[in-house]
Amino acid sequence: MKRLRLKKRESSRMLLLGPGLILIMFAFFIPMILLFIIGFQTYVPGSGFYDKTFTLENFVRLFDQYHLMILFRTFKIAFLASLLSLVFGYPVAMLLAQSRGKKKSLLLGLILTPLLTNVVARTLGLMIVFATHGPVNTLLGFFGLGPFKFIPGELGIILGLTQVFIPYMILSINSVLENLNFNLQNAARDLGCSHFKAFWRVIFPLSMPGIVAGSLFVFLLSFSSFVTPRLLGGGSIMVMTMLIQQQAMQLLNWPFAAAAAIVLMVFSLILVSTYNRLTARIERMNDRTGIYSSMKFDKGFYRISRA
Amino acid sequence: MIKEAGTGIAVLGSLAKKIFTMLVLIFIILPLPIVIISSFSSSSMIAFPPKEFSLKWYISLASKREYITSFLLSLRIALISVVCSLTFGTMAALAIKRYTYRFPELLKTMFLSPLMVPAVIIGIALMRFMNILGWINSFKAIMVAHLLITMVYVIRTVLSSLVGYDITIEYAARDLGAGPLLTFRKITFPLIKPGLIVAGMFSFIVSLDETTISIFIAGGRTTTLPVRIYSMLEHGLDPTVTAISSLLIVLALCILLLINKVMGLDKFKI
Repeated sequence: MKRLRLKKRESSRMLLLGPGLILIMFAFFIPMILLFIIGFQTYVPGSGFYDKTFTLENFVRLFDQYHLMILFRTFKIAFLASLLSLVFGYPVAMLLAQSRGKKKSLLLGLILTPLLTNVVARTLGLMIVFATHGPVNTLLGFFGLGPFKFIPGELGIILGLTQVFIPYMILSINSVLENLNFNLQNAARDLGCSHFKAFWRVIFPLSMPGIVAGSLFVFLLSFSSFVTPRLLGGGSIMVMTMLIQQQAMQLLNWPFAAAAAIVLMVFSLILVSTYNRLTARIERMNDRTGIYSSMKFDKGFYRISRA
Repeated sequence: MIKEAGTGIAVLGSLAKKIFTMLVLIFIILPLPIVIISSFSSSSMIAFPPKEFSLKWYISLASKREYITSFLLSLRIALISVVCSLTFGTMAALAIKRYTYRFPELLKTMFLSPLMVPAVIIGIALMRFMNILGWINSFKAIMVAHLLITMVYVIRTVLSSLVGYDITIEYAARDLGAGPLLTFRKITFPLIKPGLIVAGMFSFIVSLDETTISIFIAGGRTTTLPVRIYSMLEHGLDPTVTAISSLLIVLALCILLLINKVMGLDKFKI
């Protein structure tokens, strides 16, 4: 009797898991394994085909001067985008953490609306904003500056990625600041610190976990984004994701595209695990308060891909 | 005297901070209203601010069949995604929660792993696989991609709404004679309903917004709306794009208001 129940339990478990497992195998694991294998196969130039002989040539080629430059540029753009998000995002996070009620809802709405909007529609907006005769250049013109050529160009990509990903930075810093006791700042002021010093020596160090987590997150998202750099760079400024797309879709060099994809994935997995370890540690440290519970990585990571 | 000068600087500093914060907020939101305003321009060059206003591009939108077909396709894919991934995803999440496994974390990681891989990589992997199957540019291919992405989201959301869920009340219902379906309908479903609503809305947005993966596997008659807009932007600016993008922005705003109404924005996690 007991065995029968156990068997029934087993079959109902498979019934529940089955469809999901099949989908994830079919649409994710099999294609990924296939891609992994292709990365080690030999490309037959000009044919769009590849033969099955094992080679490491694709990976060696990735580290020649031209491709290293692309890798370096990808890192540079991602780094500057996260730095800019931090500088721009911090004051907003402060404001968000200190406001309540209607004001807070309004601020959250302002920050979240772009996130829910289609990335292509937002990029179109950025293209208009940063155009040579666009509003930003008009504004700078009043101060006798410019006009600057933001797009197509690296500066446009960096600013664009900042606009697209800054909400993550704000929310990440906010999740720390929200639970911070701002009386600490007042105490520091009472003890004779200047306004700036009270912030710099007390509040800022305490918000470090949020800063690091947010920066890593924005870095990762920028690092693996495709649509934003493609549209704001005008196709002439290559980053890793664009290299992969170009090799696969235009040059039909699948083995090389696969190898580049593997390298990109290794980098992002390293970053993901660093992030996870970091937030897990913070979470353990703050288990009592649950401050950092909303910072786990698997929440919303797919958005990685949206830009 | 010195103290007064100090306050003066402090006031100036806090004013500068306020202005800076305002500028950043404007920077975050600006692209959206600018698209909407530009869409009412009468000029055939996308420019801001527009010199004259007209509804020209909305009228032109109505006559462009390809946008309408793409929009309807995207809508159909999104609706199918919501229904299927809510079903399969909830089933999987319940199975993960309900039964004991030798490696409990492994199964969860497996289901959530697509979230950790950049979309470009999923895109080319799927493109290659679909090529081999001969499914490229087919409705099946694009449906599979959207189902994958939305199901992962549903599993994540439902799992997190199951965190405080006590499995023993299901056993109690079963002991009292309820079948598995009745137990789900009367016990499990009402308890996870808020999570399911959020998961459903979320997968709708995710599917409607999905661009990167679709760029690789969509084409011809299966071009979804974001891919259509993307390729328009890639090849130069046609002002009709501003009209359709404005509609998407308004749609996102409506969904945001809906989420705010259902659960409150501060509880919303991206």
